[in-house]
Amino acid sequence: MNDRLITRRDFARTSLAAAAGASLTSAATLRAKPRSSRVVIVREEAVLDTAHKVNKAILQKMLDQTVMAVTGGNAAADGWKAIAAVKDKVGLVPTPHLNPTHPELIELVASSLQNQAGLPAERIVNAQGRNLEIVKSCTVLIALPALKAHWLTGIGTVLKNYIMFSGNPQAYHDSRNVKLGEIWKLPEVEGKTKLVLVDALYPLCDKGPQPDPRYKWHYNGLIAGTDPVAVETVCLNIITKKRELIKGEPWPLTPPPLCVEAADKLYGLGTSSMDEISLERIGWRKELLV
Amino acid sequence: MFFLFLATLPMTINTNVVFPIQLPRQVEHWSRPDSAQTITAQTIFDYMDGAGELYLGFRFDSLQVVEYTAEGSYNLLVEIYYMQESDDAFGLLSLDLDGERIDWGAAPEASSPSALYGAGLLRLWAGPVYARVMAFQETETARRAVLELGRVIAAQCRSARPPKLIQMVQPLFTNAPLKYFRSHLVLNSIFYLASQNILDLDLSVEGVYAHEGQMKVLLLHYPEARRAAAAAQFFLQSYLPDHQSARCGGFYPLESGYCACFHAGVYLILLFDCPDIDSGRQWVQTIECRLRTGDRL
Repeated sequence: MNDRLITRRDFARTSLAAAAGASLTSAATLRAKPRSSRVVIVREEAVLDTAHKVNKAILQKMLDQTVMAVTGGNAAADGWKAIAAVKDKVGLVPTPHLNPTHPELIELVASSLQNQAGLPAERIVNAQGRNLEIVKSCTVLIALPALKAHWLTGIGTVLKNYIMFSGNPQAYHDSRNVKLGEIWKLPEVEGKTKLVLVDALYPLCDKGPQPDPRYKWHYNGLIAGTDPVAVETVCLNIITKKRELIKGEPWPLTPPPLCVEAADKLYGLGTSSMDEISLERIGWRKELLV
Repeated sequence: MFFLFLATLPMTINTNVVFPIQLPRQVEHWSRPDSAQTITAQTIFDYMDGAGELYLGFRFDSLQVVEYTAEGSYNLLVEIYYMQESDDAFGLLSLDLDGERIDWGAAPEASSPSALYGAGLLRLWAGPVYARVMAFQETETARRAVLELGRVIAAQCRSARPPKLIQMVQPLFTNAPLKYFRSHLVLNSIFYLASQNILDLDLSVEGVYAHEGQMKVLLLHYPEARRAAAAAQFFLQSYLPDHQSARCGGFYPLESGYCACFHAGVYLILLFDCPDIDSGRQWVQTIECRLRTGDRL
């Protein structure tokens, strides 16, 4: 995609993707196969205590519910087996620091893969970072980002989670976040992400990625699916609603998160339309925000 | 307070800007390690990924990081950003002025040190230093410790006034805080303008963002009048491509109000979402008058 000039006037006139230069024809071409647009939100009020400490037993239960709901399995073990077979090599891709993915969640995913899907420990690796050789060696990727706003990309959760795979993260900052979707189409990456699992236990809705406790809150949730754009779209809705609640009026993300709609319309990675997303809500309902 | 003693942290900050801040070995029941982590412009992305762009968008020198620990408690994180000038440290604080104002009684109104606290995070402008002191879990004890660390930092920095450009126009915008910036990335984070740097901003250019009702105002100060003029032309071509004859001083109806760009010497004054031409002209004249009386024009 070229670096066409986008101005704030474009947003007053048209949609984000159109501002970024998308053509509906190319979008239709990219949508070669039907998109999965099922997104699951599982929340438990008691998963965090007032000191933000994670209750691992509750988190395990949430994780089991999430995997069953995403895969449609009757048991968590069936769900994990649908995500990864014993012969697979699974790369976990968490947010490593600055509002990182809770280590408890990473541990539970790894132990679930071992105990419920039967993968040996040596076939589960941390694939986050610039080393594409590790990514290339994996047959399955599990995206494990933490939910946060980002001052350079608007939202810095699912699509941005693979930014280090590009080897040049600065090339995707500011309005260039519109191109984040292309990283998901790298040959080492494309088609390998079998689960997008967002840590929304204690998200950040402004000033990310540096932690700012004024804008962090206990959402106490996991948000998951197999369509990265649909999951990101739900995340964006939650962040947007939370920001409105804080300010009592619309408080748009800036720069605008062009990457979400562009991932759909330009790169065909999934759906960014809430109308096309089937949302399953499990557990705690207070301030669900979506 | 609860300090055992103060000691200079061994570190190698390559700066002539300010002497290294001395931090206490202990505050409340938290204590720090013997050494601090020092981050430079070359290593800032390793420390904070893309967030580093924010600090490089100002004239950044180095960053000192110290993490206080205590058994059974969450850590306290101290980040001391040494900027090349006080203006840059001011700019970082100006980007978000929400929070409880902390007054140590050390400086007159509108001078540094100036500190804002909220939910366990203290943000501080003290001369050429911008600091963030954060408790990962807010408690009464943690708040005391955070504020005390802030006070210690502020006490070691010289007092300073806000940037002259801010001082000039602040009286005009009594209802809206002004934001001070130098980079188009930072501008886009407070007011999304364009995907490219259509105003030719860089570290040598000062910018002030303000809003008055629905109208947004950008005041830009370039090092040379010629460069300001060129930036104005490029802005008009880029932002108003549908107004072929757009020129400085004209008002152009856009999707949400009028847009105008005025060039006055080394300054550009840009208006966005301006509700009507008369009030827009009046604002520009008032700003130009302030710049004139301040001998800036």
